[in-house]
Amino acid sequence: LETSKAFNFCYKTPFGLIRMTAVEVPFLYVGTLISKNFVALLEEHDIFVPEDDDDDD
Amino acid sequence: MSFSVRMIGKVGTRLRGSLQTLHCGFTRPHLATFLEQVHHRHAALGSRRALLFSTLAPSCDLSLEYKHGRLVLEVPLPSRHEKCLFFLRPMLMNVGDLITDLQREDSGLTAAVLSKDGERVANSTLIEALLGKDFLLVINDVCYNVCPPEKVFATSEHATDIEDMKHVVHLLHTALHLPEHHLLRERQLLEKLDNLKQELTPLEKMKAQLSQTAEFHSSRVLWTGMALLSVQGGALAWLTWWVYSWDVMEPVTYFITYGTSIGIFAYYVLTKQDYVYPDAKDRQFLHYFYKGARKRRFDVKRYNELKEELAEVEEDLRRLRNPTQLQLPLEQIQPRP
Repeated sequence: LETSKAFNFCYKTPFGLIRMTAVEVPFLYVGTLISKNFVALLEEHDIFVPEDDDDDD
Repeated sequence: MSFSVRMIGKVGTRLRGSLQTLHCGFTRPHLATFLEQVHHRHAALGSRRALLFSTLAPSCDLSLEYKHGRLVLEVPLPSRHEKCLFFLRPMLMNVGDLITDLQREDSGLTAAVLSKDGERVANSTLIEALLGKDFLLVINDVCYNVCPPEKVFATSEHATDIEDMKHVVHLLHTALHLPEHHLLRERQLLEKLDNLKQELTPLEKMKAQLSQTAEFHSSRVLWTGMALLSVQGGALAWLTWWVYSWDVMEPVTYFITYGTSIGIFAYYVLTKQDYVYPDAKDRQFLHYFYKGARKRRFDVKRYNELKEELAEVEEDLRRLRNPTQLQLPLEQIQPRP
């Protein structure tokens, strides 16, 4: 027997959008912090300094 | 050695037989007496004269074979000196129809159908009955031996024997005892169902718990993935717009993307599974489920076996219940999709 039911494929996470923004925004900020520290590290050990690299003009 | 001697003996007897007829011919050369002798020996032919052979009769004079699924008889018509094809319908035509067709085709023709022994076959005989053995077709006093081909569509008609009797007795027995048997079987299945369900209930509870924890863990993996993506996004955005420029960052981003694709291919190589989100999540779910099962000592194999048995019993019951209420024959087992 086959019945043509309309299956409910739309699984919705409860409070989906709120949880998503709650995860995304803080971790975005964490990312910027990481990159800041990384840049400081590079400059400290003189591996890559941006001002020295802009001498293409 | 003995084989060749036997052959010589056979040939000798044959030769002697033919010699005897020849001898008869020589001693009584008068044609009339010879024919009289012939007439006396084969009285069944009546007043017709026929060709007689002293050796074995030739195998087949006329071709009767199946062409494109239809039975075809090739007959040489005497007045036109040409061969004519007659398409026969074994189940519908009888001997009388065939003779009528032959006469309609060639008006100077007289035909008769004889059996192998020379006895005349009735006009109402179906051609199908004729096809079992060779028969003779006599056209204008010329006797042709016709050999029918191998039967293509044989009917299953046969003389009743002990097997048929057994079959009928079996049918009677089934008809008398089947409903009772069905009810008995239904009761057995219901008992089995109860047993299985009783055994399954504690296992079902544990399985539900394990599923819940596994689901929680795999969901956590997904959200962690989400977090990592936003970390990467934030770091690269900061580096691009606030620290270095895009010209510095572009190669970095390209190599990060390339690294990701290497990772995805490595996922396939290690797991033999395509990296698609639903399947990957299911894989993680199963991983956590089995880990939890091992810790809580949950026998997954036993659980699976019980579930399969339960499905079988339920299917059998379903098959059984309909005819018991409707008195119809049982349906066959369907292959599971």
